[in-house]
Amino acid sequence: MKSEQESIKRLIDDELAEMKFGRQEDVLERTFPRSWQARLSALWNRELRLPLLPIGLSCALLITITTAIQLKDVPGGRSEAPVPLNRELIEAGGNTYWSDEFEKAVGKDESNGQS
Amino acid sequence: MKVTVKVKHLVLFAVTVALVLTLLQLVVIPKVQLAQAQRQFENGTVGGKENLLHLIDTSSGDRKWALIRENMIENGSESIVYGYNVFIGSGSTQTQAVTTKQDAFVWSGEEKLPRLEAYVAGAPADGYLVRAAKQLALIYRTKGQWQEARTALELAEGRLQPGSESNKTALAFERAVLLKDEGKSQSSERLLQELIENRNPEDSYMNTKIARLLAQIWIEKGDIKSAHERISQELATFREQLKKDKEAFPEMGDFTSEDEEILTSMEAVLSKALSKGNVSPSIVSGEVKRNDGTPMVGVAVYLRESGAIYHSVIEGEPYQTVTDDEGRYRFEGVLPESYQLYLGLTYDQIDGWTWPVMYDDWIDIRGGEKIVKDVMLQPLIDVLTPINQKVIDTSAIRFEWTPVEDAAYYRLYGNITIENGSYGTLIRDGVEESFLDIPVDSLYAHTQGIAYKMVGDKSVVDPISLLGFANPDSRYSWYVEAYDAQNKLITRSNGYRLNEKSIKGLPFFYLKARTLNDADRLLLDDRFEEALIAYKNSYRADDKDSYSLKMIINIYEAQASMANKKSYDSVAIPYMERLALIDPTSNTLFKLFDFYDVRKDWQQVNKYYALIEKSGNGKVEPYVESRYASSLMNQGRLPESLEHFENAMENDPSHRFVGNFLATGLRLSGDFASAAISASRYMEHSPYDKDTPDWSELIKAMANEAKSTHERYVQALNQALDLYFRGEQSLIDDWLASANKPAIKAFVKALTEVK
Repeated sequence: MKSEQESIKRLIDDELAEMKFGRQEDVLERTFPRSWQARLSALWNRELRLPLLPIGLSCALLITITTAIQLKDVPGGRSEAPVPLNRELIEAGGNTYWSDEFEKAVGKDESNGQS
Repeated sequence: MKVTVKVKHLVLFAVTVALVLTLLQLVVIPKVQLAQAQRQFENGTVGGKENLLHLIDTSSGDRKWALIRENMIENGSESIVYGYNVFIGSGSTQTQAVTTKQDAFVWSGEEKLPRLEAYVAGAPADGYLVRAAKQLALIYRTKGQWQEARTALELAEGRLQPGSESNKTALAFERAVLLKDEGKSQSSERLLQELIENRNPEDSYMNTKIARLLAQIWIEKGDIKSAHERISQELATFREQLKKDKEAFPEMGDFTSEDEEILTSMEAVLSKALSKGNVSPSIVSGEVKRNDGTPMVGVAVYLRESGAIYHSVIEGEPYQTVTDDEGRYRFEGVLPESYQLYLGLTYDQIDGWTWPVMYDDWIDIRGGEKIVKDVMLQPLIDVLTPINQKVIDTSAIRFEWTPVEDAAYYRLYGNITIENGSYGTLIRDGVEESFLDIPVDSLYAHTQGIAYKMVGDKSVVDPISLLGFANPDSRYSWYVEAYDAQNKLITRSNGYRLNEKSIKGLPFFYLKARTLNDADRLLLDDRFEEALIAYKNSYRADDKDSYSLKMIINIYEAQASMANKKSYDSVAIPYMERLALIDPTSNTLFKLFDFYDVRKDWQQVNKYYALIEKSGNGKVEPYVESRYASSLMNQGRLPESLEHFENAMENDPSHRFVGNFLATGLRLSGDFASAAISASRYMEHSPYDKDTPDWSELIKAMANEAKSTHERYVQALNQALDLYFRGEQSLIDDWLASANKPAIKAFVKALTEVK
């Protein structure tokens, strides 16, 4: 057994005889960082495990709110009673009315029933 | 679910999100806003307006200028005339749209001011800059900020490139106008002289404006002669240029220009003033207020001479201004003429209010006067009942309205709807309370005017107008006017009611106490003859049927009107006399008076005048009294005639019968001096007739002609007047052909036109 193991070891040693490990310092630097670059790099490459759902949702929410606020800033976006601009003046009963106001007044009056 | 992610990827993701948000903020959202603004703009909502302002304020550079240009400057107004919706004068009310584009926004001064200021300071220097500066100056002017107004014009003038001389002149001219209106006439004159030195002879539009302003400054200084010379010269140059233009462009045809019209009328007024000798110009000023004393700021005021009021208010009105922050206005350099005051108001200013200006409200300028003419707007009277389409099926109707303080009496009018609109008719005069109870039958028997309708290409009497208040299917309306003890209008119920608050009750009602009968239905089918027979049958069966009696008279009247006859056939008279017995209203009585007056049946004329006096409790319309005075003149009862004329002259501001009054006075006294005083006191006004006689001049001419041979001259005049009083046109014509006293001839000729 032993001789078998030894022979395999020898074989490996022979095969790996060309390879040399020369970055011990790098490894040590990464494992126990001392310089600020090394620390930054460690931070930069640090892996985080994040819950996808809450984060995705909050991002979507943020974008929606921002957009909504932006559009709400436009005064016309508020719900106001619209007043038609291209109104017509009409003369009725000696008075001058806006046609829409007049029709509204006549309509209100008729829905109240004629007295 | 969890995901494993490196910090660097997380940061990268955050940066991307931030970039997207920025992109959204700067590009996408403004685009959406613009689309939204435009959509609201197209739908025509007020929100769109605020939206647009927000857009203008948040954008910059070319985009900002384009927004201001397209939405504000293009539809804005550079003249006092175009910023107002309603023009009210003595005889007319006229409404106009403020913008040329139907769906464009109407901006207030406050909305325009900061945006136009930015535009004038930073936008490209082109024609729009000139317009923006003029509009900005007009806003400042309306606020009484003269210095700011001029600065805006100067700023724009300075920014214009060399080569745009006509634009620079236009801006400098506006500055001259501001200087003059502010009372700095000397500076204005200096500036105008500079402009004249550098003038472009082909720009007749601008040259005319400069000449007019300069002439106006000279008139204010009292130098009418120079003003007249300048205007005459300008008019000649203008006509010459126009002739050249017409030769070069035959397609101009008989084109007439507003400028020429203004110059012509100015020339006429100036030469008239010159011919009167040393006439000094007058000042007309006043305040425009609401009845609670609130001054009305920024109201346009125009002083319009009688020869110019037949047309609507134009940009080149010679006397135009805007009230200051205390509601004051002032016109200097007003030449002797008859004028009327006109106001330019916005819808907001007139909504729910009225200016109680009366027909024939004249300002007669004779020279060297300081006339104060204040204007007070009054709130409209509210109608209380019947309103909101109330159906009246009872035998009486009560009209009621809110009482007016200081009202001595009210006039109640009804409106009758016809095919093409409606027309008003006086229901009752002299109502002392703020209500009136009338039997519905008297409304049914009420006689009113005749309206026409088109049948094919023929115009025939509209039978609905003959039915008057007796049509149960018709919707009627009513209004009321309040007068003080001096017969001056205080306020009225009809006017501009443009929002829910001012609309209140709608003055509409139905009269359904009767139904249409067979005769009415025949009439509505335009079968006048058959209807007439049917009404006569009803009246024969019941001689208390005042409605049928009225309809018989109405049909006779309509037939006379369609046949173009001035008076009715005598067949109608017996019916009319019976109606006068049952329902002695001044309207019916005057028709009989008129009928007999034309036929010179003096006994009947005097009888019906006495009845008219009685029906009005001694109060007679000045026109009717003038007609009676003229009749007395024709009857040869001169002292009585004179008395009635004197009374009528005081009450009728048009003084349309002043010629007869002067003739009667002259025949009685032969005194030219007192006739001249009366002629100057009671100037005749008929604005739509260009040949209104100047009675003062006619009297003056006779006095001059009479000088050496006064007694013989008066004899000749008396003979001519006696002929005129007898009213035989052929005799007057013969005399006119043979007479050799030109001044008497002119006077008698003018008399024959009195009506």
